[in-house]
Amino acid sequence: MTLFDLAGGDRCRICALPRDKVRRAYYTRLGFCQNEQVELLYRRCSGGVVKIRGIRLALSREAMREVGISGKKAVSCGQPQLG
Amino acid sequence: MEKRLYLAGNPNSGKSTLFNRLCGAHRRTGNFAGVSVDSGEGHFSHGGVSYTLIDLPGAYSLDAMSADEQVSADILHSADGCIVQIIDAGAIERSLHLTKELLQLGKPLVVALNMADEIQRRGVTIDTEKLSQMLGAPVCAISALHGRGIGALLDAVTAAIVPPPCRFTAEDLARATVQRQDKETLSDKIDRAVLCPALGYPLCALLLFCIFGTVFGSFGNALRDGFSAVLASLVTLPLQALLTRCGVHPLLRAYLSDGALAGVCSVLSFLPQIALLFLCLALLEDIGVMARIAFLFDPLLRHFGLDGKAMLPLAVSFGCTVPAVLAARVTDAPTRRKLCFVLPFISCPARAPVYALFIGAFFGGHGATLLLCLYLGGLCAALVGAKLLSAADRGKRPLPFIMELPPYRLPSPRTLALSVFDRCRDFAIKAGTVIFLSASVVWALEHFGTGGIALRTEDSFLHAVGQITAPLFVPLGFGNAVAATALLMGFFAKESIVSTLSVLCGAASVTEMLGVLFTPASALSFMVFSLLYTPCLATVAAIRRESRSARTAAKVCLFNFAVAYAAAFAVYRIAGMA
Repeated sequence: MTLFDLAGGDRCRICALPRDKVRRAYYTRLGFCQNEQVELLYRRCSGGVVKIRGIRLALSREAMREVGISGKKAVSCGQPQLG
Repeated sequence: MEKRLYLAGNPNSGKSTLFNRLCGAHRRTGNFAGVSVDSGEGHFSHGGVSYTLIDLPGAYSLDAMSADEQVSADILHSADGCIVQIIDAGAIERSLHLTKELLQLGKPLVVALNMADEIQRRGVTIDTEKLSQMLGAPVCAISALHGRGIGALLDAVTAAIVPPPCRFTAEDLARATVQRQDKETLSDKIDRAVLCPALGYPLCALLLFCIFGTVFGSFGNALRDGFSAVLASLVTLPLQALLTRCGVHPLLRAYLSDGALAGVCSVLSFLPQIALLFLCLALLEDIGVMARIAFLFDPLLRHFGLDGKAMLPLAVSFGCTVPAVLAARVTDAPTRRKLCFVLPFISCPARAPVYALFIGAFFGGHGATLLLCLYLGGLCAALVGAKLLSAADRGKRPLPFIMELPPYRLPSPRTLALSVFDRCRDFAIKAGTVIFLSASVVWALEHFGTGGIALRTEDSFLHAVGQITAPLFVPLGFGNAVAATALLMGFFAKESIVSTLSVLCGAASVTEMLGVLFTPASALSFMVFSLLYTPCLATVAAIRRESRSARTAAKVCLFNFAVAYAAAFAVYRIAGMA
């Protein structure tokens, strides 16, 4: 399951990042760390916006599909998805 | 002896704002990650000690992943003074990774928590004393924008020493010192609405329409006409009267009045419109709109082999191509290479006088529409050019788009005013130097020939140069010596096109002369050619510096010339049929 599979308002923990060293470093430096809590603010078909420790980050669809999350959604606020 | 201070930190943490406050400088700031792409140096004194302050581009890590980060990393590794890490207090957890890396450099370090006045509103509490104890380095809360806490920061810098090794991880530091309450902020609520494609794209279109309507519509034109009248009454007419009264030689009087001054004033008259354009761009950056535009347009730009981060250099190039080439450092290497080739297609304010002159002479009723088409045409040419150049990237997998969305902020009037003033000053200086020189050269070439003073235009050097190059432009509809010479001088500075036309046609009768030399179809072709052909000398120099290759700069010139020629030919043929 990846960030792209979440709905707006969902909160999860990051459990997987790309295996490639360069790509992994690219995500880590921006705040995507193992076990970090992430909240999906809203999502549309071409990407979405997440919040990690108060920082809002916009991601493309490709980026969202590269971040694996824990299997069950921790909290779902049921916000409607955009796009 | 001066001590050196280095301002390091994540992008958009307030380094340049602090730099400007300490040094009284005017480095460009903006609410967008990636505004500073080069280091800057300034000087200030505190407590009887003189400091050299170095402002570095933002970096998430010393393990650089882009050209601007590499600049920071290289300078910090060889730093010979105290490092001041500026941290956005609202994003402290991410910044602590860089703090750990800076501690490992073994240099004196002071941590400045910037925007400390905002964090309570954002639901964040930081125990600065505990953080300082755990890091082994002083931590000061400041507000660079409002000038709070700067004195305490500088006192800490004066007493800074190399901190001991820190055994805590960044996560440990964050867990022990930061308390955060999840709060939906006003920025979240605004983004929920505007980042929806159904609303976001129309809003962007409306924004663009408002900017162009204001700058190049009746308001902007009225400002320009008013400023021209002021220049005439305060500069041109008094100077002409003075020269006559002093009995200056007629040839020298003609040079000063009809040559150099006419050329400079013809360009300076556009200063109000250019100031308006700069103000609009600065507003977009400072409020935080630019980052949202980058996110909205990332899917579109991907189709052309670029990504959302290319929005900054693309937007900056509407102001000037030279800083746009530098701004491309925030992108990855393949995107940066493509941007070097296509950024010159985007119309900068230097070309605005050309459009205004020809639109006024031939297309009076459709000015705003035609201008919008030219600006959009330049942008389209850039995107299509990037798509064509993407063929070389087949098989490569670029890094995906991830960008921080900063909170919306009300721009500081002082910062805005300084930003616009700086850019206008650069434009005016360029008019007073490069344009003055090129207008003087054109006037001299027009009035002198192989036999000394040229009594007829046909005997002048300029006529000879124009005769040699004019045939090249016959297929485009403007195969005359005047147009050819203007375009040649435009290579040195695009503003020179109008000043050259003014000198060659006579400032008072330039519109009438254009009616003789051009038809509406060839005027349109000339404008398209001016839009797309080789970049100015300053841009070529910037491309050469960034690409570290004179060959690349030459390829850019040839590529742009070829595209301009093809486009102008097509426009001339189609317009001629209409």
